[in-house]
Amino acid sequence: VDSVTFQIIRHKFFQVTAEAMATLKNVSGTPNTNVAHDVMVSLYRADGTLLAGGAGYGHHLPVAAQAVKHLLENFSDDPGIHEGDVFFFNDPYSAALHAPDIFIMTPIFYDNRLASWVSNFVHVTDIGGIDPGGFCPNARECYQEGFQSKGLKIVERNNMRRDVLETFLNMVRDPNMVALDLKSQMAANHVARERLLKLYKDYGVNTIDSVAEELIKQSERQLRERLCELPDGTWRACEYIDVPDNECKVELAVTKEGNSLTYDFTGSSPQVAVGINCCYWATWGALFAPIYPLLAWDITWNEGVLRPVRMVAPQGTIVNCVRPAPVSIATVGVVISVNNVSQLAITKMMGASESYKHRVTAVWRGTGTRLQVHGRTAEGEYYTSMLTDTFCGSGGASATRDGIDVAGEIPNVVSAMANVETHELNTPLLYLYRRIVTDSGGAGKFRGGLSHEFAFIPHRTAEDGMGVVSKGKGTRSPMSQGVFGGYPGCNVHYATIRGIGASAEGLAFVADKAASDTTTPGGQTLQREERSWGLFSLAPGDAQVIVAMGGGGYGDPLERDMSAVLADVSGGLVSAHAAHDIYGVVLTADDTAVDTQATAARRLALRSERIGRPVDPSALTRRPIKPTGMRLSEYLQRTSDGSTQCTWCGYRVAPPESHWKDHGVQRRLPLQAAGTRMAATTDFVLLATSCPSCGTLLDTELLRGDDPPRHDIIRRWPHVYD
Amino acid sequence: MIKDPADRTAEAQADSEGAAKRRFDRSFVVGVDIGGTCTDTVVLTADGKTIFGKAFSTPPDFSHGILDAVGVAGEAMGIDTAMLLRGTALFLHSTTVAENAVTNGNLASVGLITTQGFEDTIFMMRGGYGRWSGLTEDEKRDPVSTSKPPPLVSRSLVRSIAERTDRRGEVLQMVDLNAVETAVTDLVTRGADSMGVCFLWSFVNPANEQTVGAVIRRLYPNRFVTLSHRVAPVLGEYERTSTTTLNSALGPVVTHYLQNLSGRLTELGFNGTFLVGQGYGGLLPLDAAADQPVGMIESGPIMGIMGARAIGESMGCHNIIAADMGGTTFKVGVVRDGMMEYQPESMVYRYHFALPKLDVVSLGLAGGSIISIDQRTGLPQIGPRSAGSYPGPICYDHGGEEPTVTDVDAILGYLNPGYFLGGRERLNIEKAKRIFKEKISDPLGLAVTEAAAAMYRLTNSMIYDLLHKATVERGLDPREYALFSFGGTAGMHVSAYGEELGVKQLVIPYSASVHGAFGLVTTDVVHEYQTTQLVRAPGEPRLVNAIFASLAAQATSQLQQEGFAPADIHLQRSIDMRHRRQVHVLNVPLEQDGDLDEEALGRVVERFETLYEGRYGKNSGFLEAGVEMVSFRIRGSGKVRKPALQAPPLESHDPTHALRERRTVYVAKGGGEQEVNGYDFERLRPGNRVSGPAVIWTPITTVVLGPEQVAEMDAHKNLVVTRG
Repeated sequence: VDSVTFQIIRHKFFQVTAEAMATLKNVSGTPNTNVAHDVMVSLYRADGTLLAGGAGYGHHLPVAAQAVKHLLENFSDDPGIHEGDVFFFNDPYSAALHAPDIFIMTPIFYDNRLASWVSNFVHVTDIGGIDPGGFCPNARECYQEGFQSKGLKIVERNNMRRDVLETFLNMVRDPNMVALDLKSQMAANHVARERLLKLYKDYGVNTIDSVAEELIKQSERQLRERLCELPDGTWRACEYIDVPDNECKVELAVTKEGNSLTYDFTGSSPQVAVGINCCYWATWGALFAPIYPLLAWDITWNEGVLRPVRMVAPQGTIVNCVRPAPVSIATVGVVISVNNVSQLAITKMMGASESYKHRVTAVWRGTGTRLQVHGRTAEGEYYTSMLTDTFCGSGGASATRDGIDVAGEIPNVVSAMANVETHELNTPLLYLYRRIVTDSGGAGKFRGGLSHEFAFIPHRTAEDGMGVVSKGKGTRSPMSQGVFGGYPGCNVHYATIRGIGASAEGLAFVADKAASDTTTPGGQTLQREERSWGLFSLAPGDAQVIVAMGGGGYGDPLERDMSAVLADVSGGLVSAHAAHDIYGVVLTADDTAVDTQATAARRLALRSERIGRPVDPSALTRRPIKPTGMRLSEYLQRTSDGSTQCTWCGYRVAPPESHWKDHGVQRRLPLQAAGTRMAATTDFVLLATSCPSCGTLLDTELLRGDDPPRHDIIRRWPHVYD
Repeated sequence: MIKDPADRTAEAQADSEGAAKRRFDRSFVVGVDIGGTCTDTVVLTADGKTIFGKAFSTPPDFSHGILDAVGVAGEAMGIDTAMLLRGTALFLHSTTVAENAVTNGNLASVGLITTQGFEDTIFMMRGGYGRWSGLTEDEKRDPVSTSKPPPLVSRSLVRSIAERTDRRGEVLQMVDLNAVETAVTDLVTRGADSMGVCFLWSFVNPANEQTVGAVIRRLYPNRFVTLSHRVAPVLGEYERTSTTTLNSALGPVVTHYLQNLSGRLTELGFNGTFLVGQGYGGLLPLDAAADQPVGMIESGPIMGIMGARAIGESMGCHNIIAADMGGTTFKVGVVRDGMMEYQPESMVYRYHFALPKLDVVSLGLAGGSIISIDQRTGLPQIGPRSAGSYPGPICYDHGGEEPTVTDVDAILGYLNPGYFLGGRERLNIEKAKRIFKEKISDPLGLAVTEAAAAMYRLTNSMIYDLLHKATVERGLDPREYALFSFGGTAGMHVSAYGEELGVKQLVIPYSASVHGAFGLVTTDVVHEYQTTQLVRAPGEPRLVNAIFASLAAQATSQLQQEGFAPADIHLQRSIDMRHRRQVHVLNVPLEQDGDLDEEALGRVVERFETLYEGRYGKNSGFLEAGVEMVSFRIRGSGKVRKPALQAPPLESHDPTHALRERRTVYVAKGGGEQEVNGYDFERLRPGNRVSGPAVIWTPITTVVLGPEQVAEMDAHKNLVVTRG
C-alpha cells in the first residue's frame, strides 16, 4: 500500500465514524444524544479489536471491543453471526458501562466473510429500571436496574425482529422515544456499513484490513516511544466519593516502567449498595478515557493504545464489583472517579518530565450534575428527559494558562451543552437562569476554569408537577483536584426551593438570590431542601437550583500574576475577598487597581503563616535554580545526591531515600480555606505541604479525616544516568 | 444612501415601477469583488460579452480601488468610468470587509441586552462547544491545547432585562419600559457603539424584543441595532445571541463602507440597482445587506466558487476543487456532483452565526506570506505573518522590506514585469533579490536561486498539506476531481502541488483573474424568508397556504422592487419537518407551485418519509410519534442575465503565434535554471497546446508548466493542464 492510499484509507475510517455519528445525532430525539454528544461510534476488526475510535465518550471504545469479543465467543455457532444481523447488547457484567448505554453492533460481511464490526451506543431514554431514565438511585441490586441483555439479534438477515423489539419496548417507559433511540443507532450503523462496503469494493478488503493492522501497530509503537520519554515511577491518586450513606473511595497507583503502564486499584473500597459501582470492563474503559486525549492526543485512537497498559482491579470492590451489586449509576459514579484519578496520575507523571511538563493539567469538571426529569405534560403525554447542563463542564488549569471557563471535560473531548430553548422545546420546564459562577475555579498560579449554575421550575406539566432523579455527588468532597499546589474547584450544590410560584416576582427572586437566601422581599421564608440523591418531585411553582463543579488550579495561588487577579475581579470571575484571602492580592478601595506594596506584605505574611515563622522578603521572587533534569513537580526536583530541592528558593527540602512530603511543613486545612464556594464540612481536609524555607505551597492533597498522605515515587528519568 | 428600514416600505411602492424601467434602459451588469490584494471587475454587456478589469485594493477606503478596476474595464471598452456607471443597470458587489473586521478585531463595541439570568450565554458558548467547534478532528482530540476565542462583547457591556416568553410564544413577563431605558442609556454611556438584543423565544414571539428595539430607536436613532428574531429567527439562544452580537459588531463598520461606496457611485452617475453578495450564494439589495452585515461574511470566495461551478458546467465537469491563492489568503471550496454544501455550522474565525453559508475553508498561506529564519532553530519558515496587501511583497516596490512567497516567485523568473497588472505596475525584482539574499539565502548558506528554489518547494508542500486537509481528510478522493486554480499566486505553484495531489486535471479558467467578480455575474438575486410555526402534519391546507402566501408576498414585492419582471422571479418553497419529539429537522422542498390541497400536503409528508429513509436507512422513521412542520421557507430568486457562452471551433495545436519570449526560469524536479518558452495567454487560441517546461503569462499570474505537463486551451479559453 503506497503512502497516499494509506493516508486516504486512514482518514476514510474516521470519515465513516463521523458520518455515522452525524446520522445518529440527526435521527435521535434527545438533546443528550444530538447536542450533548453522549454517544460513540467506532469500528472494530473482525476479531473485535478496536480499529478506529470516533470522538465521544472514550470509555466506550475499549468496552465495545469487549462486547464484540463476547458475541464472537458466545454466539458464533448458536444462534450464529450472519450477514444482515444487528445485535443489541447492554449487560454490564459481560461488557457494557451500564444498562441504558445500549451497544448496537453490526457485523459487516464482504464476499461472505466477516470483515469488520461497527458499534455505537446512546444512553437510551429509559431501560425499565426502578427509577425512570436509566439511572436508578433507589436500586440495591442489579436486578432492579432494568432490561439487561448479553446479546440479542434485533435484526436478523436484514429483517427487524418485531418480537424482540416489542418485548424490549414493553419493559420501558416512554417506548416511542426509546424506539427512536434504537432507530437512530441502527441508522448510524447502516450508514457506516454502506461506506465500509464501498471502501472494500474500491480498495479490496485485504488492503483495508492491512491498513487497519498497520495503524494499530503504529499507535502501539508511538505510545510506547512516548512512555520511554517519561520517567519511571509510581504516582498515586485517590478520589473520595461522598454519596450519602455509601461513602467510598477509588485508590489508584499508576506505575510506569520502560514502555508500559500498570494501573493498580488496590485499596479501593468494597462495592457499595447503590449503583455507582463499576464492573471490571467499565473500569478498564474509564482509565483509558483520559489516556487518549492526554497521552495519545496525536496518535490514532485504536487498539494499539490499549496494548501497553495492564490493570489490577481487586474483585468485590467498587472498581470490579460482583453480582448482585447495582451499577446503573456507574457512568456518573465510579467511572468519572476513575477518569479523574487516571487524569491526575498521568498529569503528575508528565509534570516530572522536562519534555512534557507543559502538558500538565489539573482535573477538569470532577463530576457532573446530571438531573433527569419525568412526568406528564399538561396534555397528558409522558416524558423523561436528561438536562445537558451536566456537560457544561469547567477546565483544569494547566502549566501554562488558566483553566477554560465552562469548558467541557476530558473523557469526552466533544461534549456540549444544549441550548435552554432546546430543552424547553420538548420538556415542560422553564429555566430561570443559566450563568457563570464567581469563585468557582480552583485557585492557583493558574486558576481553574469557572463552572456554571442553573435553576428551573416545572412549566405546563400535569397538576402533579415533575419528578426529578438525582444522583449527585461532590457536594462535600471536591473532585476537580488541583495540582502542584493548586486548589480544587468548587463543590456542587443542590437545593429545592418550594413554593416560589410562577409570578414575575418569584422568578426574579430566584434569578437574583435563591442560591443563597430564602427570605423573599415580602418577608416570607421559603422551604429549602438540599437534596442531592434520589427520586423527588417538584410541584408547579417549586424551583430546583444547582451549582456545578469548577476546575482544579495549578501551582501556588500566591504566585499568580497580580494583574491577572485584578482582571478576574474586574470581570466578576473572582471576588475581591478571594483575591485578598487566597491570592494575597490587596486592591485599592474601589477594586480598580492593585496596591502592590500591600500585596507584597500580604503575600509575605501568608507565606510566613504557612510555615509558622517569618519568611525572608526575597522569597517573593523565584530564584533561578539550575534544572537537574530530575524534575518532580512545578516546585521540586531531585539533586544528584538524591535529595529533594525546592526550585523556588533552592532549599534542600528532604534528604535522599525519604518521602519529601514528610519533610515539608504540613497543614490540614478546612476545605473553605480554598474558597467560600467549597463545602462547609470537616469530613475532608486539604493537606497543604509548604517549603520550610520560602513557604511556597508545594502540594495540596485531598484527604478524608485523618488519612495519611500519599507518596509518589520516581525511580528514574530517561537520559539521566547516575 | 442607506435608508432607515422604517422609510423603506413607503418608498418601495413608488420605486418599483421606476426601477423596472431603469433596469431595461441600462445595459451593463458590473460585478466587483474585493480581495485582500486586488479588486476585480467583470462587465457583462447586453450581447453577452465579458470584459475584465483589475486594480490594487486600496484600504482603508476601498472605493478608490473599485473605481480604478471599473475604469480599467471601461478603458478596454473605450468608455470612461462615469459613462460605464451611467450605463449600468446592476452593480453587484462582494467584499471581504466583514471578515476582515472580525480577523483584525476592527469591530464596534456592542452593548448586549439579554433575558435576565442569561447574561453569560455568549461567554459560555454552550460549554465545551465554544472550545472545540471549528477545530479539525485532530485538534479536537487534544483538549489541553484548545481554548475559546476572545469574547465578542465586553462583560461590562451586557445588561439584562426581567422578561420572559415561553416556547409557545406566551409572554410570561413583559419588559418594563423604565428598566429598558435605564439599561440602554447605561450601555451607551459606557461606550456601546451599537446595540444587540436577544431574548429567549423571541423567534416565536418577538414582542419583547420589538419593544426594546423601539426604545433604542427612540433614544438613539442613529445607533445600529440588531434584534435577534430579525437576523436569525431560529431555535437556540446561544447561536442567536452570537449572531446578533456579531452583526452589531460589524454593523457600523459595514454601514460606513457601503454608504461611502454607494455615495461615490451615485456621484459618478450610477443610478441602477446595487446588490451585495451573500454567503448563501445569492445577492441582496444594499439596504437589506447593510442591515445584515453578518450575511456578507466570506461572500467573495463563495462567489468565486459559484463562478467555478458555472464554468465547470460549461465543461461538463461536476467535481471541482476550487483553490484560490491570492496575496493574503488561500481558500478552498468543493463542488461535488455540481452541488456546493452548506457549512454545518456557520462560523467566522471561531464565532458562530446562524445564517446559512456555503462551505469554504480559508487558510493563511499566500503570496504575501513572509519568509523568515527562526532565530532559535535556524530553520526557514513560511508565514504565519503576512505582508498583507500593503506594503505587500518587496518586488511590488510599495515599501515592503520582508521577503515573501511572491518575491521567491519573482526571483525564480516567473513574474514578467511586462504583464504584471497589464504592465501598469512596475516590479522591483533586484530589490527582492538583495533583501532575500541578506535575510534568507546568506543565513542558510545557499546561493540566491538555490535558496529561492528550496522555499518554492517548501511552499508547495505546505499547500499540498492544506489541500489534503480540505479533501482527503473529509473523505474526498482528489483523483475524482479537477483542480480549478484561481488567484495571482496560484499559477506559479499549481502544477507542482496539483500533480502531487493526484487530481484528474488542472484547470486555469479564463476568468481566473477575476473569479469572484465573474461569480457575481453568474449569480441570481436571492432572498430567503422563513417563519417558525409548529404545525402537526399534514396540516390544514388553509393555514399552510396562508403562511406561504405571506412569505411569497414579501419575496415577490422585494424582487419587483429590485426591477425583476414577474417572468424572471422564481419562488422555491420548502418546509423544515421532523418527527414529533425529534430535534433535528429535514428540509423538504415542495415540488409544485400554487395552493396546496389536502392531497398535496399528504404528498409532502410522504416525501418527507422518503427523504428521511433515503438518508438514514429503511425503518429509521418515527411515524408512531407523528410528523410536525417546524419552519416554512421561501427562497425567492430574480434571474440575472448570463453570458451566452459560445464555443468557437478549435484551431490547431500549434501555439507559436503566442510565443512572447524565451526566458530563464527555475524548472522544478531537477530541471534547474533553464531557458524556456514564454507564451502570452491572451494570444493563445482554443485548441493550442503548450508543452512544458514552459511558462504562460496571464494578466494576473504565470502558469508554470513542469517538464512533463501539457496545457491545452479549450473552446471556452480555459487552460486545461494534464500530464503529457
